[in-house]
Amino acid sequence: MRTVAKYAFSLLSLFLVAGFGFAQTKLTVACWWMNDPVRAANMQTAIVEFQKLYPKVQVEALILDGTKYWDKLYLDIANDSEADIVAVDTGAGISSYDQTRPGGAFLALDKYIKGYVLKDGTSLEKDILFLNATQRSGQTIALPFINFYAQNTVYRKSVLKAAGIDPKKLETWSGQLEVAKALTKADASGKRTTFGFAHPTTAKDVLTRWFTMPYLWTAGGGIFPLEKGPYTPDRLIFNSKENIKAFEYLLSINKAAGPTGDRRYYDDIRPLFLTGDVAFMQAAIWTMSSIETDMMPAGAFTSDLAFAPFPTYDLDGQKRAPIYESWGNPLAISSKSKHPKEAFDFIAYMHSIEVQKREGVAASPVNKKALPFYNSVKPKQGEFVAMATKYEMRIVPDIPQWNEFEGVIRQTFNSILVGAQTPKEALDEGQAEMVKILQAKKK
Amino acid sequence: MKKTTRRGIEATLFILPLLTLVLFVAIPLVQAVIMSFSDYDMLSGSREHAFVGLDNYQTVWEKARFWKMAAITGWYTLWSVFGKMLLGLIVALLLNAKFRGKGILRSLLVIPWAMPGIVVAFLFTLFLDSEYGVMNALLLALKLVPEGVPFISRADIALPVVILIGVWKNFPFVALMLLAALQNIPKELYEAADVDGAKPLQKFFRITWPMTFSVWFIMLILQLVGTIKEFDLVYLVTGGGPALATNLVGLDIYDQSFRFFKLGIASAEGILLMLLSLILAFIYYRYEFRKR
Repeated sequence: MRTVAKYAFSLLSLFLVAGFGFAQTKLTVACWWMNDPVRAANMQTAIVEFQKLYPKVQVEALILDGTKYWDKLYLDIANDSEADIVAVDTGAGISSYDQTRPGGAFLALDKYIKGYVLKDGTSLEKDILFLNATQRSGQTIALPFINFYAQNTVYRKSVLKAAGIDPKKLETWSGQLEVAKALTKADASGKRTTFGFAHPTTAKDVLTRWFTMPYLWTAGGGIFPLEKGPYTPDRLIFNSKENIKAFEYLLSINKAAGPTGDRRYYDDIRPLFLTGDVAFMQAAIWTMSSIETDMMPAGAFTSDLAFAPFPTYDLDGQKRAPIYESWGNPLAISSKSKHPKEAFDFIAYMHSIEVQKREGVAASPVNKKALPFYNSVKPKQGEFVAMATKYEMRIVPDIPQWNEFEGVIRQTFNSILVGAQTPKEALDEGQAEMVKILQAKKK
Repeated sequence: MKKTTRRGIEATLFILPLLTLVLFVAIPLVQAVIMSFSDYDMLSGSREHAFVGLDNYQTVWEKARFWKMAAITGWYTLWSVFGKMLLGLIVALLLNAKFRGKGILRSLLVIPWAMPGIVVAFLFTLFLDSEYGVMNALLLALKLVPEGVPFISRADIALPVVILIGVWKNFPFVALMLLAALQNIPKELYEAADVDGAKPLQKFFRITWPMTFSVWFIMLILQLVGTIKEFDLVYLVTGGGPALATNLVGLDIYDQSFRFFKLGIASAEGILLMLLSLILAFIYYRYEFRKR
């Protein structure tokens, strides 16, 4: 009798536990930043909070190698094995990932967004910035989550003051060239010891493309007109005279004031700014976190760092307002997710005020209601964002062939910026390659 | 143990290498051939991989950049192998002579060859840096250049630079093989030549060269086959740049496979490279067959 009771009790317990497990909805989240301890901790905090609000939902954040994340995402989508929720990147386009699966890799979210209000009063329709940056074929396929606001010019007030230079000069292309020359110093042998300006040139790093595109757009160029479709070969403007002009400017400022030799990565240039060896450079909001911690001497970040907007094009008697790069890490839901409603609840929660406040570590919140807090705890970053939001923001053409375009663009930009080819030669070649990519047979 | 059981075990052990070959070489090779004739674009959104005949090969053939890459690969292979074989022969001849410290030098010779490619790549990237590199420091100190030379950032000199790096890394293997061949030459032949009053060059062309030619030829074929598919060193040092000046076919196969996920195109390029290597291997086998 005792034995029977013991077995009956064990079986009942088993059913209760299993039943509870079956009643739980399990979601997986994949983001490229999970090997950053601070951001990983923020994610875990958000998951714990979300699970308290939604006890029947269990969320697991996958720990992935950030450097391999993007290639793995392609392969996972191709194998229908990606996480329920994935982070994507508007700086690199979402289309190439989305079209990896017939019918789209990501769920259209418009029906979920409509009328959705979070418990803290955040309306997804009214309070979230950059919803238009995550659309494909008129449908929203991701929620913006965080934004990087590229790119303002950063400089040291004391350096310009000591040289008797009005910071307003940094607000135009001709002004930046003049300031760069004035702030470049050389030793007795003619070797540069301080560089007026620095710009990345390597083809191995996507940041060269990220920091160069605003120059092309502001000059009136780009890849397609306004980077809008239809994305057909006859509409390519990659080898336009505006792009040539933009590169001629970059070459002239690099030659007059930039580091020589092999300082080609953005990660080579940033330390030079932090030590005062580069007088000014372009920066995005994610750069600000390293400037905050590493700018020398201590306290310079607060007392000496200043910003100017990306410069206005003022060459050849023309004036064109700056165009910034809209660049963020939205969260998308897999079209294969078995729990789309719960997945949407989670990514919506990631846009709540509390989560957005915490995510202002390396990027800026996209929830307007979190911005006052962000501005109060990170006033410098808030100032940076406020400056950037005054101007038009553009994304690169969101086309399925973006991966191949990226390869062409990196090589073209590198060829020009290291002086291996003239802007016209390199851009003509790049345009021809892009035409071939767009014309490639679809079977 | 019964004789038949032992024989069975022996037979199984002998088959294992063949199974390994089938598993890790033959099957992937057959797969690559099939992919090269299929529409294998992983990002196309299609799960079908239809047979497309020679379309992928045609795409590769018509790609203007492919021919530029093929030319760069050809030059890289030619000069790299020439450098390795020549330097390897010279060093082998020097190490074959009698002098103090020969043993230590032979040991030191192995170091470049034994170093992993990634270490060599990083070493030379620092060594050749235009601002902080040792090479530029020397050139500037000797007033041979007015300012630091960006060795791996200039399109006109990047290819010769990576060739030299490749030669530095791999010539020790050639030198060691030739040294072994040199040491197998009977000393009596040189003594007889000395008696006949032969000059050093005559001894080299009449004794040394004919006696080591077969090893030298084998090394030549192996180096050609190995260099033509070079990837890691060039990828790590220049990434195929600047301005695609060092963009070998091997690097494009990597890009097509792992950046653009166009496995059909990548397989077609790989098969073409393999066919070229097979031609070289065929030349080697013909030579060996004729020798026997």
